[in-house]
Amino acid sequence: MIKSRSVAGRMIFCIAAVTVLFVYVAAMAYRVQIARHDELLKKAQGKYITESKTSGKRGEIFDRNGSLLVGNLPCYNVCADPSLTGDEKACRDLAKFLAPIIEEPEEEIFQKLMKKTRVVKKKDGSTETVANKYVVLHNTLEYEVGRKLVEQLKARQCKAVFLEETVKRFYPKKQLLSNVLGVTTKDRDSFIANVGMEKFYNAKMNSRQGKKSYERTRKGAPIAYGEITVQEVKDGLNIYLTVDEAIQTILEEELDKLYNSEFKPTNCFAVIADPWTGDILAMAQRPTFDPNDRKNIKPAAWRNKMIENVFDPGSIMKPVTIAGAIDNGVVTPDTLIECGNRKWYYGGASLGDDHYIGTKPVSEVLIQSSNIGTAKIGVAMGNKLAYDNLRKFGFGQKTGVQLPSESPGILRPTKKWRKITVTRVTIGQGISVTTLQMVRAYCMLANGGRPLSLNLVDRLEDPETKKIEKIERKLGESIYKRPDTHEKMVKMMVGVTTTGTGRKAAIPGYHVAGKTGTAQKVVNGKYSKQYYVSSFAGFVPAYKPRFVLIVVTDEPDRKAGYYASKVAAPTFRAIGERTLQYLGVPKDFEPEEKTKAGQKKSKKRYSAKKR
Amino acid sequence: MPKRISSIKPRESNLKGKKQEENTKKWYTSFFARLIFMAILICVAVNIRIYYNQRAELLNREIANVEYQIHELDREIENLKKRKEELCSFSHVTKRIREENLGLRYAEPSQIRKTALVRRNIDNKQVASGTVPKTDSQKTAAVR
Repeated sequence: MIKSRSVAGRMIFCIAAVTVLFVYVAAMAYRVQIARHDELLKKAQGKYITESKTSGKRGEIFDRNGSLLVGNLPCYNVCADPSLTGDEKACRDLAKFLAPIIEEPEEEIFQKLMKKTRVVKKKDGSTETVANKYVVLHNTLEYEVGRKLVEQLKARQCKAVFLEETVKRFYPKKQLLSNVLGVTTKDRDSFIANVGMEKFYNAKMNSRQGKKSYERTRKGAPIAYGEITVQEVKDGLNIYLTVDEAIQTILEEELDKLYNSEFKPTNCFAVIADPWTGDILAMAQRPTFDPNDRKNIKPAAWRNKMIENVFDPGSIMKPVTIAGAIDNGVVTPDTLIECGNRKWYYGGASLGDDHYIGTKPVSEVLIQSSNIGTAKIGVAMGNKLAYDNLRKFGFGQKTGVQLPSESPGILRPTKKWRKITVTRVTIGQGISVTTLQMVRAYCMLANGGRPLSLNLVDRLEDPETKKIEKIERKLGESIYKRPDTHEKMVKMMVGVTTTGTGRKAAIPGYHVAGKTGTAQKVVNGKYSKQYYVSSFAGFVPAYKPRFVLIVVTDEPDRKAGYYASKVAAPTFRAIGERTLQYLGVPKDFEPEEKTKAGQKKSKKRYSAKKR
Repeated sequence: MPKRISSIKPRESNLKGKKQEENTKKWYTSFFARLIFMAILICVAVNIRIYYNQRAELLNREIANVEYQIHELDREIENLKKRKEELCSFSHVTKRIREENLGLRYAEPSQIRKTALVRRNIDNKQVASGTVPKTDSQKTAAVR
């Protein structure tokens, strides 16, 4: 018991004071921890929690055997902070040092380094001058050069210049298949596809950005615990084409020879396809471009003329007409057709042949490529049958190939036909087709009349899960009503390369089925006598076809020669021979050798040439 | 006459007072002892926590360094893969053959021999017990 009253009073006062203090602290703690919990937690998180974004990889493109055609190449952007570059002399020195490494003009680099301020527009419309802390000196610097530059900058203790990691689209095979693959441009971290396969599959090849939020220290380093992944990064799908790199190279080498030959065509194209699956093994055009060299690309070279441009096919359409006529019983290969004396008048217009043919069976009409004979067969078929036949072979419709901007060609309906139209359409005039449409038609001639879609893509692959999405191939029921139509057609088309206009397309040791075509081009609404499209289309080996090949030459030099037998047929032979060799296709027969006197030697077993 | 010692306390209160004093002293001792013990515990716990936090941070930094190195190596690997594809391209190889005048040519179809490898699903147990089923060619060979 406290006896002194003053001591007791002081005790009571202290206890009361401490109690009030504790109550105050408890009240504040309640206010901070409970009442303002959400608000303060949000503030704290805003300060210490950061969100980072990671970009995935855009999908790559491979050939059917896994050889890379388009990939992502790591590189650097060379950037600088002008506020740290120093005075004019220091900037000059730095520009002199950087110019040969990043291959930019020294003066340009100097101007960028000296740009210490920049004008910023505010939301209210007024402008403000702020310090410029970021300029880009060079985009997409090579990886090895970038690594060396990093070391050199460290040695110079230069903090003003820094390198940002980035990737660029890279085409290791340079101009190989460039018109099909397409090109992309880069906008910050994302790729924008302009043309070709890159554009067609843009959505599937684009990656999904990953987002992570994590707590960081005062200096910005991430703290391991507390990391939250908001969205997983996802790489784009890889694409495997049906194209074979080796066959594509063969095609492009031979097209280069044709393009640079005496014929000097404006354009030339070639396509090889498998007639049983519709897989395109190779397709190329000239002129072309190297997608790695953006400065020298001409816009005209970007267009994929094999699917976008149309042309009158000419005589390569004749096998399609005759197949329809034979299959519907209009004619047989032995039916005699009066081809007249090089000129025939019908429907108020004349039609001519290059040379006198006379009265010949249908097989010879095809082998000798008689316009009059084929036109008469067309008349015998009639408008409806001729039109239906062309539709069954896929004309007037897209081929289904996986490329953007494919043209369906021009095949007018019969109600818009004049009297002479049937005589022209059946010989490949008055109808406009794309190169791929002709390829599909010849695939049907090769596989016994079975319709199919052309494919450029074999499969899609998820690079993370390795899941494969195979592209379905469909081979339809044969359009032929008679079982012997195919055999008859193949026999006649083999005749074209043995005794007909396509002898220069014959490949020793193989039966080649094909057809030449020399078509006048339409200039200012009229058929020109100056400009031609010379083509050769065929398949080999004729009786067990491994591939269909078409070579198209646009506007060969008239003086050097424009007939397909001279222009396109030899290129067909060169490509076909090399491709058969590459695929290891056994010969159909042993070729006969001729002596210098022109006499044939007896057949001998094939043996390797000795050098 | 004996003096009244009013200050002399009765014995019981003396005893009580002493007991109270002793009790108070014990209470103070135990209180402060507990207080000091708790303070030491808290101090140790806090220091242990700080120590492990520091270790975790050092490891985090090491992880970040290693992740960065892996990232750099991945970039280098990608770069080398692309360069390899460039050097393996058909056009590059044929160009070098021409430049070096190596005199190589394509094989003729009759010169190519192909071996087909047939995939068979064979169990390890079958191999161990010697009960692997024979192929067709092995069966016909046995008959011969």
